[in-house]
Amino acid sequence: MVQRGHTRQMKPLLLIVAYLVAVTLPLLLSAWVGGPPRQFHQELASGLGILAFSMILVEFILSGRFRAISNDVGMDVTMRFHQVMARTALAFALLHPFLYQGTPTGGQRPWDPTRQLTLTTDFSDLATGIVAWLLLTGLVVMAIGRTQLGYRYETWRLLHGIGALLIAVLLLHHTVYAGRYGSQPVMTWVWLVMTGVAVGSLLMVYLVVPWLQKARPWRVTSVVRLTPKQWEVTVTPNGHRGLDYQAGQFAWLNVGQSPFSMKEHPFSISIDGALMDRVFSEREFRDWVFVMCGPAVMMDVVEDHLIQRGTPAHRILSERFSYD
Amino acid sequence: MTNPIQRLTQRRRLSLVIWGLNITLVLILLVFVLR
Repeated sequence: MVQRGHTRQMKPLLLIVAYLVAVTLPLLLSAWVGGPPRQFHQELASGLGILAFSMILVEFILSGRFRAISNDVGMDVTMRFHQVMARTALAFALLHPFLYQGTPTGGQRPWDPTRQLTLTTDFSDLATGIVAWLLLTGLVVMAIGRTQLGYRYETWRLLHGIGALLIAVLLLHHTVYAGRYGSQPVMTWVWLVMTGVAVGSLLMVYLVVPWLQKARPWRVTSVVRLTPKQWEVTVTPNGHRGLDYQAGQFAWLNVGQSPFSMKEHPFSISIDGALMDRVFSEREFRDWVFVMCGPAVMMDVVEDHLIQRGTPAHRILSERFSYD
Repeated sequence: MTNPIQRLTQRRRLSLVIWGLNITLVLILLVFVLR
């Protein structure tokens, strides 16, 4: 138990350090390989752009569908982190183009091999940055105002994914072709690998995971309407060992559609007898006072389980409520 | 005595982490700019 508690405290700290390393690695490497620094405002502009791009790429990994990251910390926490850090990235990205003011343009001069003195004016190199800048603003604003937009969640999620994919690819082009630091071969490779991982994680969520899920189907064995807005769905694994779960966790169920469909529904995994036996000991069933609240039908089920396991009725205090 | 950070709610802890990270990022950016 001590080991487990220790690991629980270590995990967030590890994630924070990993985040800092991933986000600042391109900036530190750029300083190392990019040649002599320029004036304060030009370096600040480039630094903001570099940080914004790496933060955007790490956002893909924090998108909430990777158990390795959200386990222990909680998906609500990783999701909130994704949302708030996206705003910081947007603030950095918004400032980035305006701080280059006064820098000579017109491309690289023959006597300036490290591109210390000028900015590119090649339209295609700048255009990808401008389009990404506009798309990113739209993406964040649409995410913050998602509920007011009136889109179905699935439509919004698909748009958010496609928008993010476009931004990553456009920024890769802009960073490598317009950037003084991004054009260094080492940095071009770093950005290629980081963008590859980010885009790969998106393809993993939308294509690879559903394809793997096809091989592990589940069968719906019962559907009970608990209250007008609540449903109890029982599923059993079809030809595999199923899922190791704990009460309170939730699963995205995709029922009656192709695994590649965006129509999924979050279901809380509720309690059953076998699960209660794993959580409580015989002595705890007998001696503890169980205080609980929830929908009436669920309370009936839990009370039955408790009584079967020897909990006296006067030690069960339950409150029944309905969402409607 | 309980660790004061552990006494905060989860939301406050996350907010503290995010503020800390943002400040660290700005400091690293300054190191890059002023190198």
